[in-house]
Amino acid sequence: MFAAVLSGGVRGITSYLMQVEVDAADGLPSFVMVGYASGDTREAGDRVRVALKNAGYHIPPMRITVNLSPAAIRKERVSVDLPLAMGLLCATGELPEECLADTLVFGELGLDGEVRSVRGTLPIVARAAQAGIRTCILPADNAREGAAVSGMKIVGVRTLEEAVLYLKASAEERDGLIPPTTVDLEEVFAAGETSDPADFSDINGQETVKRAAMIAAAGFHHLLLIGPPGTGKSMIAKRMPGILPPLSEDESIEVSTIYSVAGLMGPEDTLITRRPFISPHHTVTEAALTGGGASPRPGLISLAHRGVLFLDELPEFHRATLDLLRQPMEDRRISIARAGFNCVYPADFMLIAAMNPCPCGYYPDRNRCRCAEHEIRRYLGRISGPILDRIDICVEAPRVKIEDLSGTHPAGDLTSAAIRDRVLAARGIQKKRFTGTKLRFNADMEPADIKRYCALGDAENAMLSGLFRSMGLSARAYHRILRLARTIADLDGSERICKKHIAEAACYRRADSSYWSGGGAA
Amino acid sequence: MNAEDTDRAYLYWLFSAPGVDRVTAMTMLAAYGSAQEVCRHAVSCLRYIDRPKRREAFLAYAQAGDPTASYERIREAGISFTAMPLPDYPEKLRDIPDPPFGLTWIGRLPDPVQPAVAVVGARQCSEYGRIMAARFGEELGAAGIRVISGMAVGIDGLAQRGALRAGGESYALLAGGVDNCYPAENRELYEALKEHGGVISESPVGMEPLRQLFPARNRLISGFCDILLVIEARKRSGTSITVDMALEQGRDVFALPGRVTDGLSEGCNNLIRQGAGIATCAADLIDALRTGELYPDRRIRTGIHMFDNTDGDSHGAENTPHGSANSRGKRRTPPPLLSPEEETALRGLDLMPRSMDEIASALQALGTPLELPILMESLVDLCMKNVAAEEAGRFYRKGV
Repeated sequence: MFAAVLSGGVRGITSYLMQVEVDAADGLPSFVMVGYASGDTREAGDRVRVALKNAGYHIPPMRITVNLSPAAIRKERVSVDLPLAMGLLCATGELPEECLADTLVFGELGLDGEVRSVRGTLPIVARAAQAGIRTCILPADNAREGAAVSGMKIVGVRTLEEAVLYLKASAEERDGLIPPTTVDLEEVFAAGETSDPADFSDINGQETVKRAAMIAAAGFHHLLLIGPPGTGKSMIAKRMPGILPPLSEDESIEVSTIYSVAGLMGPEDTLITRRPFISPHHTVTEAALTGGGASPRPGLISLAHRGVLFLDELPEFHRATLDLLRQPMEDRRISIARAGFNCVYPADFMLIAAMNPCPCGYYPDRNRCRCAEHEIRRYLGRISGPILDRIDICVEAPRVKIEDLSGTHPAGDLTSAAIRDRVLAARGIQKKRFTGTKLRFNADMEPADIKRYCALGDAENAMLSGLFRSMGLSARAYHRILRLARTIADLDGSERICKKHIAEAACYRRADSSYWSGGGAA
Repeated sequence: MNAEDTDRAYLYWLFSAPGVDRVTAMTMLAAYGSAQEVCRHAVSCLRYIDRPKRREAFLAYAQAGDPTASYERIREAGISFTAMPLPDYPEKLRDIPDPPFGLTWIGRLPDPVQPAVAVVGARQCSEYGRIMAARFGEELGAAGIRVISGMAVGIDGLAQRGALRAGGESYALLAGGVDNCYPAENRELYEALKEHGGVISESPVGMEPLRQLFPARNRLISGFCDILLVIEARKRSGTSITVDMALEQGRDVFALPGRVTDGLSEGCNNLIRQGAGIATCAADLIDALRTGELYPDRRIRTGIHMFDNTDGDSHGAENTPHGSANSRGKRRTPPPLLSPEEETALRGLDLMPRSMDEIASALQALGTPLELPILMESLVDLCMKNVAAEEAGRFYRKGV
């Protein structure tokens, strides 16, 4: 007899639906699996037979053929255990033929018949919902994640037996047996809002850096923090997600999809509602950062999608590893091409990098820093120019003084919530300005856009050309300053870019002349 | 080639000979009368060389090729040479302990009659050191005083650049051969010194600037000067070698005072405690040069613009249209007009670079806090008006 069960898998970040077709025929007993399945997928056959036996179901000795359709897609790292078991039971007459109609089934089996969680629940369920499927039987541990997809009846099962009982029951009895899992998305988002214990008001002093962080968040500019060790650079970076606008539902689904594919969603997780904060150690390998590997997996830059990628000790990263960030920073996604597959992972992150100003960390305090200029230059030279070109804000985190730490400084009470309100207001202005264009934030502006959106008055133009002369700016610095000045003006609620906005932007510029080419003469 | 040139060429042969130091060379010359004779009797001269390895090297050198060819080559390359037996050997060096046997140079040697000040200090100097080195260089150069130094990064190079900027002369003592520009980043200074002064070395042409050559080089820096000025130096540093040499050679030592908390001024303050002269401006050095009375023909330009420590702006003579030597390189601009915010921001600055937060808290402490955006705007304006400057994201007040 023949049976077909609808299931699904993920490849890269995209999901696909497949039919698990099972045919049980008379003949010499055998078990054949076809349909472009990789070795690990074929293992499902052995697992299912034992699991069925241990769950008390008898598979008669027959000639069993399994096909995973469409056969054009390579099935790799896909669990077809549960659909295969259901299909077998259908094909051998244990289950009624029509009970699996229009039902998506996926899950992994243990030998004892336990149903175990799989990765990629969210994209698979979403794909099925698009295809008009309304019921989904899946591992109980994945139920909350699947429930994020609206219009789908989510049935989480713990054992093979539960699944069989459920399917055997009539449509009216089913909900009584296993109530469908539902989640209140509003509640989920609200919980994500309040769960952050790190707040900007924890940081004493560092007023310049805090302001730079706010500007970075408002315009989605990449940020470089330079300062001696122990000045709270990582503290500030960790608090960045807290001042970025909350994830919208669409963004949240994007991020959750990546985490789901990477197998990072726990049984309690529905959606990722907090902006990710990813902080890889500087020994990170190229594949771990960008993703890939023998079978595709999202890398850290994709896990930082819509959130913050924090690279502490930037010059310690391998230059080749850092250079891999160039394409993602430009395209906001990373395409990975290997011999066997081709996939694209989103990677729209805000880069926050931190570094010491010199190998010892105390430059330009010449009383403590004894690094020779060529040493400093070599240290800074480890970061390639193209990466630095994409970082709009460069700010120094100076040593913290004792009065700052003891909390007597009056300005340490700016909370993350207060900063976020200002960021949101600035984002609102940008949204309005960029309606109908592909731009989202000021940081996305290309030179042509800058010309259009950053018109200057005569006084401002004069100031900018004055800056060019006195500070020796490059053409790149010109665009960076204007982009940044636009954001600062937006934060100020000012339609026009004024002199003070340009001046402030100039203060955050990368000090091309002194930092990156060795100190000039006085 | 005339007789004098031949003599010089053979002396250069002896000067470049491996394993021959000044004492050996002078002994050989005393024994055989001239360098040419030494060359002819190279084999018998071997007895004056103490170590077998050196003897081997000397022998191989003596037997290789035309002895005068290398002198001709350096002449063609524009390099001059003198040695102790020759009359144009600098008199000042004859008096120092362990004078060099020979000198090579491109450009000129410093005029023995005219006053010379050596300006030395740390390579990794502070902003204060940078400013002061350049300022002393400029003032000395403008006064017609030769500035002697080692062309290193930091104080040395800055002082020499300053002297050239003011239209003065400057001389660099190199550790390696004179054809070897070290450090490479001072290439443009090296070229300028060839034009407006000289680069001098006691090493044979083509010698690498080896580490061990630098301490010996320092004795020549002090040897060529009348006064040694130390701008910034740590307690123990290469500069202290130069100071020791200068004292041994009977040169006056002046030091630029600094704050006691600054590690880079520790060496200078120590020198002052031990009796070094205090240099607050070039005039302090010039007074000392005048009272020397050793050289009645000395010319020191007077009436030049001197930095006044109490007041940043100057009220000296206006620039002449064609720019006379003493006003060359001097800027005579009226003090720029500052807005009230800029005035306030300026009070938060110092000669030492300060970060934005430090400036903000300094202003807070003064009771005149400025909002960060306003402070940033004022600082950028101050930089554009050339009253302040910025380095590595830190701001400082410009002293000049």
